[in-house]
Amino acid sequence: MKKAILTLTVMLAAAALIAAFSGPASAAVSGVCSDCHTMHNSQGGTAMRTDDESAPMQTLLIGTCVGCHSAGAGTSIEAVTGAPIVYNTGAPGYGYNNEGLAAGNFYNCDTTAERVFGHNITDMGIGSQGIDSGITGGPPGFVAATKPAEFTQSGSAWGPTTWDNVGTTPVTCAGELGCHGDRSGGYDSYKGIKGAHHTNDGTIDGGTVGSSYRFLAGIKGVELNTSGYEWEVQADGTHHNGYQGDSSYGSDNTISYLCGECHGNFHAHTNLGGTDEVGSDSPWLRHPTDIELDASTSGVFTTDYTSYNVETPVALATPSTSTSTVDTTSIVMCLSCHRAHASPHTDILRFEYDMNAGDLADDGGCERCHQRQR
Amino acid sequence: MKQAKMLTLTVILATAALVAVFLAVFSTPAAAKVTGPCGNCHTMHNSQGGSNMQTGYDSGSDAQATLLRANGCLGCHGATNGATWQGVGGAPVVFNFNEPAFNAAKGLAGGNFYWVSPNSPYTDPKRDACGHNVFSDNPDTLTPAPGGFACGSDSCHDNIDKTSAGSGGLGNRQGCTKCHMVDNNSGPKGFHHADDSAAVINSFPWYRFLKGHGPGNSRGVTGIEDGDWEQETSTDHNEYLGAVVYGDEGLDGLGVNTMTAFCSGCHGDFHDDQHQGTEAEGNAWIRHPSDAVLPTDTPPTEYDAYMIYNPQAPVARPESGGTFDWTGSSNTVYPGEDMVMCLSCHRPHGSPYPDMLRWDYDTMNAGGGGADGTGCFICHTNKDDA
Repeated sequence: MKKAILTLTVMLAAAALIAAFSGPASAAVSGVCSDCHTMHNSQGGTAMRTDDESAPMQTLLIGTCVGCHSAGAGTSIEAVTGAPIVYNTGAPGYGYNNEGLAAGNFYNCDTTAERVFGHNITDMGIGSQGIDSGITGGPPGFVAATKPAEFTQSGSAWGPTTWDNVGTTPVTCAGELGCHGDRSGGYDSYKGIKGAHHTNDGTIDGGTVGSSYRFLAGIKGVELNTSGYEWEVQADGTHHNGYQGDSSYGSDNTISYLCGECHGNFHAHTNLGGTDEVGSDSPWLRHPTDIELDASTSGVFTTDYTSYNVETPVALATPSTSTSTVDTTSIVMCLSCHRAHASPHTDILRFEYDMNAGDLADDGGCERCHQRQR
Repeated sequence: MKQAKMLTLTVILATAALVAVFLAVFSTPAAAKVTGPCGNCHTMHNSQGGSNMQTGYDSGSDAQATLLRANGCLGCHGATNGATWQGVGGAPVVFNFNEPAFNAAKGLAGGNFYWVSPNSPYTDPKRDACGHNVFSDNPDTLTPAPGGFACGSDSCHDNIDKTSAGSGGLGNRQGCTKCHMVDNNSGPKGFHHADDSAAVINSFPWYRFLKGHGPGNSRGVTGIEDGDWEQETSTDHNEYLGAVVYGDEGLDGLGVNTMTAFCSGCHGDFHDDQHQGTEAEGNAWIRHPSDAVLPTDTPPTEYDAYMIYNPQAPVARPESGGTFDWTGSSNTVYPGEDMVMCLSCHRPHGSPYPDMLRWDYDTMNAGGGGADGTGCFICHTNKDDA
């Protein structure tokens, strides 16, 4: 059981490389062009990169994805550009449980050689531990995914058709091997995300990369933009991201479907692993996602979880950022257990996987939903 | 006393004649080859009635090359005030001693060297960044040219302010002649006597006397010169040739007669290395593109919404295969055909803004922050939206 949940954990984690990148909370990025761009990578005879490199970058950027979305310990939102920080060089010290913004923080990828605390993105260009050095296979549960036609470039697959080794072919922030942006074959992070930051994303309809939740192509949701709570720098039962779910794992616009694009066997959608890999009802083969909480009195999951807790968020068919109740319309999703970027817990979990069944003192983590197993 | 009056009269008449001829020549249409009495521009011995024959801006008494009566290029193309936009003989003024006040652009199409002159309201380093440093007393701080290569001996590629070494066609050049009237066989002479009226297409003396130093007259810039050098732009404006050619630099290297190719002769990396890989491979830009077609989309989203020509951000036109027919300036932009080029953003002489930009880059605020519909947002039409 524990092994199964561990596997599930890894799968769900993939879902998440998500929640951080966008411009200022909502609407298009604002600010002077030169905050982010350099026309010729030359000013006063000097290159304009903000890192130690001098070569000009795609889309005329002055920094990498991580370069713009990183900061020292304690900084949650970059002061000049307003970029949400996904990598702190020291412990984040903000957000729920001081673990960073909604998707967690890549700081945790640097902490041990085990490399099990986050998606070890090659874009970081940092990391004393190397890139997924301990993993020789592809993304856990990988199956080649499909995507609606409007998102696929002509003649291109959506994401890789095979992925044998994330150690040698690491995950990236965006593009074919990433989570954000256009995942067309051959696209790297910058081609994948190009233009999205300049899209007015006040309405998240999943129609384009820019109007998708956190620039996760085709994914819907509601981004928490309330002042003081952006990207869940603070979060509580009435201030949280609104995640898109489907009560019967049939939609391709949910946050869990995005995770399944790399960890397909962990999602029951027919484009992904399907019910052969996950099951269709209890007893499940793998922990389900995109399925509503069970209200049956004989079940073990149920409506005992009634008040939204940001440690274990739920999705909704019609998500909002202020839904405070959890009921039978609530949907378990990958991010119910995992953060997308990284966390201080193994398998990118949102909590320590050390709870004990039959122990009433354990009322968080798994046992927030599984209260009857306390 | 009588002799002195005669001398004064002579100078006045000579100057008047020079003005008249240049007005006739340079006014409308822009140029056509110079016509008029030789004495309007030249003096055989710099001596008449015992006096020198020098006139125009910053005139001295010494004899000048090509027997000119003016002190270098700025003698005819400079003015002692801020209001004059036609200098001696009606020549287009590219340097005003005081802040240009004759149009909103504060200079003609190429801008004005005022901004980089000792009279500039700015101090270095901003002053240096506001123009090509043609003044010998205000040395270039960037050498060789950004994005370019060292050619040595104070060549055109190394700096603008110093005099190039040697005595051949490319030697002994300083300031203006490091861009204009380049010829590796002879000095900067003869161009004003060639016809550059209306459209100058693939022929000598080339648009604004801009040519490469390749063999003979093989390559130069093609364009249509506005009759008043864009002193006003409501009725007409310059037109520039563009061509989607990469992979090399300079007019001869690229094998085209575009303005961008000319600029790339000194700033090659900014054009040659604007792609990661090649455009054909679908790779992204790594520097702002020049001579790249404004992309179209259905429905129009960004660049293809730029359809009414804005002289603040001019476009280049294709030589053939496009809607633009090269018979005169057009106020229509044709996305999918017309191109962004170096001069879409920069003025080659000087401007009130760093990097010789045509607008203040520090005021370009994306996402509804201001400057809507101006500068960068003339092409990037949707990036000023909130």
